[in-house]
Amino acid sequence: MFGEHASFILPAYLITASVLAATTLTIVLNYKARKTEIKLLENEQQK
Amino acid sequence: MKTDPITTVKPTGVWSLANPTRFMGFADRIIPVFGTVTALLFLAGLYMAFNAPEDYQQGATVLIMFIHVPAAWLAMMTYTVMSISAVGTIVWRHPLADVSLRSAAPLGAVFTFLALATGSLWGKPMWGTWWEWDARMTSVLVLLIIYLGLIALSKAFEEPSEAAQPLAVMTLTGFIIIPIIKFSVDWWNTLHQPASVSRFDRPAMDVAFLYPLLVMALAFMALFFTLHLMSMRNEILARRIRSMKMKSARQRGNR
Repeated sequence: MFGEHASFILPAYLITASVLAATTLTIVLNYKARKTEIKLLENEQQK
Repeated sequence: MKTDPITTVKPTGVWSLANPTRFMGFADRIIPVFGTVTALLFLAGLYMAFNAPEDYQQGATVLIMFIHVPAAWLAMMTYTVMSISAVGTIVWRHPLADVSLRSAAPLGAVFTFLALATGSLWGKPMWGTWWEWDARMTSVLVLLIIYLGLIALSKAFEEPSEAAQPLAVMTLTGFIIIPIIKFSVDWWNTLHQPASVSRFDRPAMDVAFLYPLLVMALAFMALFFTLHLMSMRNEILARRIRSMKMKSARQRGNR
C-alpha cells in the first residue's frame, strides 16, 4: 500500500500521532494534577 | 435614580467570558463537543487520505502531504491566534488574552515541529535531501525558534501578570515571520514548491487530493481549538493555585 517509500510514510504518521497524543495526554494529566492540588488547598484553608 | 453604565451594562461577546469562572464553565461544556468533532474529522480525513489515489509523480508518498500541510497551516494559524491575543492584552486588556497567548505557544511549537519533521521525511524521498536552507524551510525553523523563545520568556517571570505586556509585545514583533513564510516561495527561488491551495486563483490541486487535505486541515484546526481551551483551563487553575498559596502564606505570616 505504501510502496517503496513506506520507511518515510509510516514514521511520518507515527511521529505525528505520538507527538499529538503525548501533547494531549500532558494537558489532561496537568488538568487532573491541578484539580487535585486545588482540592488539597481548599481543604487546608478550611481547617 | 442615575445608574452607572459601567456597572450596569451586561458584557457581551468575548467580554462575557472575561470572568475566569464563567470561562471555566464555558470550557467545561464546549471541550467534550470539540473533542468529539476532532475525533470524527480525523476519522473521516484519514479514511479519505488513505483512499485517495497515488500521485503520478510521488506515488504513495503523497500521503505525507495530508499531515505535513495541515501541520504547517496550524503552525501559522496558532501564531496568528497568539498575535490577536497579544492585541487583546495591549489594547483591550482582556483578562483572558494573556492566558490565551501563553496556552497557544506550546501548541504552536508542536505544530511547527511536526511540519518540519514530516517535511523532512517527505523531502528525503522526493528531493533527495532531509533539509535545505531554502527560504520556506529556514523561515519555518525561525518560527519554531520564535515559539521556543516566547515560551522561555513566559517562564522567566515569577508573576504571570508581569510577563503579559513583554510577551504580547514580543509576539506582535515576531508576527513578521508569518507573511515571510507565506510568500517565501514567491519572493525567493526555493526548493519548496509554490502554493497549491491558498492562492488568489483556484487551487492547483485535483479534488481527489484537495478534499482529504481540507478535511485533515479541519481536523487539525478542531484539535488546536480543543487543546487550546484545555490549556487555557489549566492556566487559569494554575493562577488560582498561585493565589491560594499566596493567601495561605499571608495567613500563616499573620498568625
